Amino acid sequence: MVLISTNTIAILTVGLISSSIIVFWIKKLLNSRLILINTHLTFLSKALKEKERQQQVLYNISTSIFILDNIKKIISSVLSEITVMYQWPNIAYLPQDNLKNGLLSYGQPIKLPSEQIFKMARDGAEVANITLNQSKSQVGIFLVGSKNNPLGVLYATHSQGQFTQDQVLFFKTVAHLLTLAMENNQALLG
Amino acid sequence: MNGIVLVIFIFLLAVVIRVSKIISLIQDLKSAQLRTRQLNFLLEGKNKQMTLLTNLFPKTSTLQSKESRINQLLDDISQILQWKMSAFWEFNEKGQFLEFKYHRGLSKEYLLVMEDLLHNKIPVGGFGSGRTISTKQPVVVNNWLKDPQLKGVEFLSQAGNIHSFAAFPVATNAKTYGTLHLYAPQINEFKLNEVQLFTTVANSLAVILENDDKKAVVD
Repeated sequence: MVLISTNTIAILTVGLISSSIIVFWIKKLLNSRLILINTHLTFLSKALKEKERQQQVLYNISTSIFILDNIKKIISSVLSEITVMYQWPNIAYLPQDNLKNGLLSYGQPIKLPSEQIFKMARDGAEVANITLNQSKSQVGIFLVGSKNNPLGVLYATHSQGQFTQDQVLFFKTVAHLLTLAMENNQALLG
Repeated sequence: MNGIVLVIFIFLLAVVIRVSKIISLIQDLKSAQLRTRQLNFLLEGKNKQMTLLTNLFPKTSTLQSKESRINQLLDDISQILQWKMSAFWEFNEKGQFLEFKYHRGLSKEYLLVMEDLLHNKIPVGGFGSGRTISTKQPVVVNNWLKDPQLKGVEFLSQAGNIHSFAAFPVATNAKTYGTLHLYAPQINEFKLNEVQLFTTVANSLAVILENDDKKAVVD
């Protein structure tokens, strides 16, 4: 009886320790998988929120700029939407006639020379890496108008990293909306 | 004997606690995977919406006819967004009515009713499209059979198996082109996301058509 009970206790003890080890490893595996998925979920949630902000901005722009009768108001409205609603402060618009008349750009100061920006826009560059005063950043250059009839350039700086494809597409869409509004306005003014 | 029972009991309790923790972890994992699928689905939807919008903008300076632009838009709504039923009602300024001119995915019964009973026309102010033109605001009906302004035309809903629809004015300050209609077989299909998207599309289309008209005059 004493022998049996000792063996039983020994077996139970070994069983308990083995099952504890197995459970420990299973939990570790499941936890690491859960952490991975939660990280991905956080990324997806952020991406979705950004898409929703983009859609809101495009909606706001499309309901405001087409009824404005002044190109300056159109540009201000767009830059304001991007800065406030999209929370992207580093945005500017460089009009084509800036090259002739020396007008200032709208929005944040542009650090590259105008001629260089327009050349890049005409060459189809959308995103470029630049180094100014030893600091690197990426700029987005989005032509407003067409190659044959450029009206200006929408200029965005990414201070913290690189433009995603979605962000490039968003700014291109904004540039398209600006093109529509400005061409429409020019035609109105004759 | 009592000692053995106690040890066995403690052992079993320990196993149960550990297994229940694993089960809880597995449930968390399943919820997280489901949420990931939901978010991926939503993101895919948003990407399709952006594609629809960018496809709308003129790619070249070559003039495209109004018919061509409207047909292209309805095709894109069907193929890119996979939104089955849509239409464009064209505004006739002289007659002050809307003409049911372009459509996709609507049933034969609905088209027959539109032709036989309404002669493919509705007056400004009448039904959804007419109200859209007179107010220059979108009209959203998320439950056709319960909308008081559509009493008496339930037969249209039944003919087309349409339970919610939305009409968006395609108009600039200077000119009204018509209304863009989206239809759905379920109720409550039009939420903020859909209203914003199609308002953006309709507003952009209006300006594109107006720009085309001006370029045609110049040429």
